[in-house]
Amino acid sequence: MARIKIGTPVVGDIREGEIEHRYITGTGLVLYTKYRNQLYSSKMYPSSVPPLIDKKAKSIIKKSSFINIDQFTGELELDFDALTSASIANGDSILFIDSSSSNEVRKESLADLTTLLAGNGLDTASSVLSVDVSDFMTNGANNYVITSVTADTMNAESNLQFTGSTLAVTGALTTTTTATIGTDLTITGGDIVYGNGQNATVSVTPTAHDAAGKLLTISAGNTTAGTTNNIAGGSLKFSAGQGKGSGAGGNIVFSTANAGSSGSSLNSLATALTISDDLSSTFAGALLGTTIDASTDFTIDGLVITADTITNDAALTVDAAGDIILDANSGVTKFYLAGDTDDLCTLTVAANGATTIATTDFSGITGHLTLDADGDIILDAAGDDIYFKDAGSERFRMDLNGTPTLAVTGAFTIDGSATVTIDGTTGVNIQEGGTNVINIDTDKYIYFHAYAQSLSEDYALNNKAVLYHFTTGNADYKENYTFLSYYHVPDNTGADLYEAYPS
Amino acid sequence: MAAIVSNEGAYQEIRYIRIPDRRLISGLLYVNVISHIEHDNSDDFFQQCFDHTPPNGTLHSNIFVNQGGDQSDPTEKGREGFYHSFADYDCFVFYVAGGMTLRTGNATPIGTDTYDNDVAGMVSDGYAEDRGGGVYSWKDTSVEITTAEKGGTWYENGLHGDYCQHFIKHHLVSRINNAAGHAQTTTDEYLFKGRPMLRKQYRQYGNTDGSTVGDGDLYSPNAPVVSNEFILSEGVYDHLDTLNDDLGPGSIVRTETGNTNNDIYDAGPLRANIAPDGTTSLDTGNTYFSPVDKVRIYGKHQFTEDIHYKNPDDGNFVSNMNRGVRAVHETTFWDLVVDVGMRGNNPSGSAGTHNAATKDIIKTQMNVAFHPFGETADFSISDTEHTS
Repeated sequence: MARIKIGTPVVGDIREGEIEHRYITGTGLVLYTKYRNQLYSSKMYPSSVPPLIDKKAKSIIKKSSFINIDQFTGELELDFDALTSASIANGDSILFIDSSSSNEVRKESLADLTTLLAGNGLDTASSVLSVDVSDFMTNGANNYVITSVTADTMNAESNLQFTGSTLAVTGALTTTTTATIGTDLTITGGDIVYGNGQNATVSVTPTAHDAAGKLLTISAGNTTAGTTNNIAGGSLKFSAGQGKGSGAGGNIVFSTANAGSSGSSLNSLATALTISDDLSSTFAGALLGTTIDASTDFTIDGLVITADTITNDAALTVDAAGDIILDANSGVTKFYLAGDTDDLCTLTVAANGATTIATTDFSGITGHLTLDADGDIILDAAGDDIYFKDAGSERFRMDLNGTPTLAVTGAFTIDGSATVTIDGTTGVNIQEGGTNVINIDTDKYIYFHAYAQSLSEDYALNNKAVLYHFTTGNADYKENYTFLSYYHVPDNTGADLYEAYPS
Repeated sequence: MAAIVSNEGAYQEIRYIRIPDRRLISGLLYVNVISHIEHDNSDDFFQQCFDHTPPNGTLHSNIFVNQGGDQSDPTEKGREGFYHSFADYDCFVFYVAGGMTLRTGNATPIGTDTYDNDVAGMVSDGYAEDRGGGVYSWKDTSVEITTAEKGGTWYENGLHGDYCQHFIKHHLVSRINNAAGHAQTTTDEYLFKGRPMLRKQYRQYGNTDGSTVGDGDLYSPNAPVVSNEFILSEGVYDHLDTLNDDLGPGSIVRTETGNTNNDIYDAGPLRANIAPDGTTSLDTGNTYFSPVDKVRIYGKHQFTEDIHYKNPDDGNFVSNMNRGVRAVHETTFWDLVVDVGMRGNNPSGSAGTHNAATKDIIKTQMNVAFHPFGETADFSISDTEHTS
């Protein structure tokens, strides 16, 4: 009997085309062949034991599709594939090699087999094995997500549930990298806290190169409409980071990117509004809006705008490209001097635009109103009349119709420091009660009391008077010279009778 | 307001000029009166009366009644168509001077019976009536007697006096009208075409013994001579220029007919008979007249006693200036009265003298001007006496 070498051969151990058996520990008998300087191997198996024939019991082995006897080798072939198919069920048995009985072939019921196989996490009943995760998983319940407790045990997490569409976490949710939410993210709690290892950003993913960016809205909580009246909405609060000691607190900065020239580069962000730690707000651009509301004031350098006051530590210019409109519900606009509210000027607008400019002198009557123009002062009254009053009592009324009149209430004095001239191009009249008292015509003749005789030659002075014509004098008892006259014609009524002329 | 007077054939037109007390004034007073109606185209009044029938008959007061026969002769008229109603004017200029001194208080009647706080006595004597309950009234007015009146002193049949007097004098400087120059006929009475106004002059002449001693002495021992003039009209009428050339028809009426038709006077004989006063010397030529009868100028203040009669017919009365409610004594001002009496007519009167005039004889127009100079310029003109 040839010696079987032990161990794996090398190429040189075997000649070209020869075979050699080697015993390989752990593997068994292996046949090696060298072909074209390449070793090829094939594991060897022990040959089957030929059937033992009990010549006494039975001398002939019935041949079937299952059993076949090779006539040349006498080997018995068993073709299991040829066996008749049947469903295995509880109560059925299987063959096995029983090591405990010198490897005799024994049959065993499936129930015993499954019982043998059952154990921790694997239950059997009626030859059926079933997985029992409760043996190594605790707290199992519907939708609970299983987490590992140890290498062999698991736990169904009541705080981590997945319904098939929703993953619910009860407790903290921590990620070490980016967490991506497919759609909306709803946080039932009140806080979103960013890590302190970096600056934080809330942003909207840029859109495609040809799509406008999407809106980001941050909203405070609304109340729910209906049922209950008068419920306030939640406030939206932005807070900058707090500093310590003399360290400044953070600012709240609002930035926008203004449109630039045509191109495809992103426009630069610029700070539009900075709310500083000292509570000041700095607008880099215009401050626009329908309502600008400050609890105390708006301050621009020395200009302070409070709820009802605009003050400035220097001159204040209101420069409008259009109108400047002062709209007081009361119609009253007041002008103070250095905060003196007792001595003031008021401009009052009433119905139909009726306007009064008035001054108030708290302690006297020296609240003068002066119109001082480098040019003309033009008073244009569509209603024809311009009034001059003394404490509400009319004194002058300038009637500006086609024949202007200066109507005076009360005694009227023209007091000139030099010559007083009344110059009419078509005559001068001085009237009393609408009747001419003094008339100067274009020939420079003076007529008193509407003297209207047609004279061939008028006189320098012409007076129409009844009873009293003229007086001149120094004083009572002194140099009095008077012209009196009267005229009478009987009117033939009462006792004032006369005879008719014979005719 | 005109008034009717009975003692003159005059129709008064009076004005009261209020003047303060004790102010000496003087000045010229002009009175111009003309008789016509709005300067119509009428002949002078006489011609008009001759040619037409005057209203209310021909009796236009006695001064026109006694017209002589020549006045009824139509041939002696002949001014028809001359439209000389304008010539029936009368113009005066007076120099008026003086004033009035007034003093409060009054003088009580002397020697009369009095009722001193004696209303019962006045009742007993018939001046008052007792209405019972301490109420008394005057007999003549039935007005209740006031407490003050009852307590006063009433004088029977005696009038109070006062200390006030006017010293207004006036001098007729001139009067011009066309009424003068009408001659008197021997058989007929005058045709009183105007009444004269008195002008009085006090003159002190030189020595009457022919010596010259004292001539020119302002203190001549000779007594002044008072002369009275009765002015009908003054003024001259120029119908010739300084070269004695006739002014001609440019200033004198002229018809140029040249005939002797007496119904129209020719200018020639008219001019030939024109007197220096401007009126014709022909008896029948001048038929103009003066509408003014007389002008009176005086001062007057209110002094009215409260007088009550028991029976007006018997003339007995009681008077009081101190307590009587109707007594008035104004001592702060007085009235200068200008009383122009126009010729009046009493168409219903008789032919006797001084018939009451109830109408102005014809419609007159009067212009009066007064130019006072002196111690006051405080004047007020009224138709009635001033009470304040």
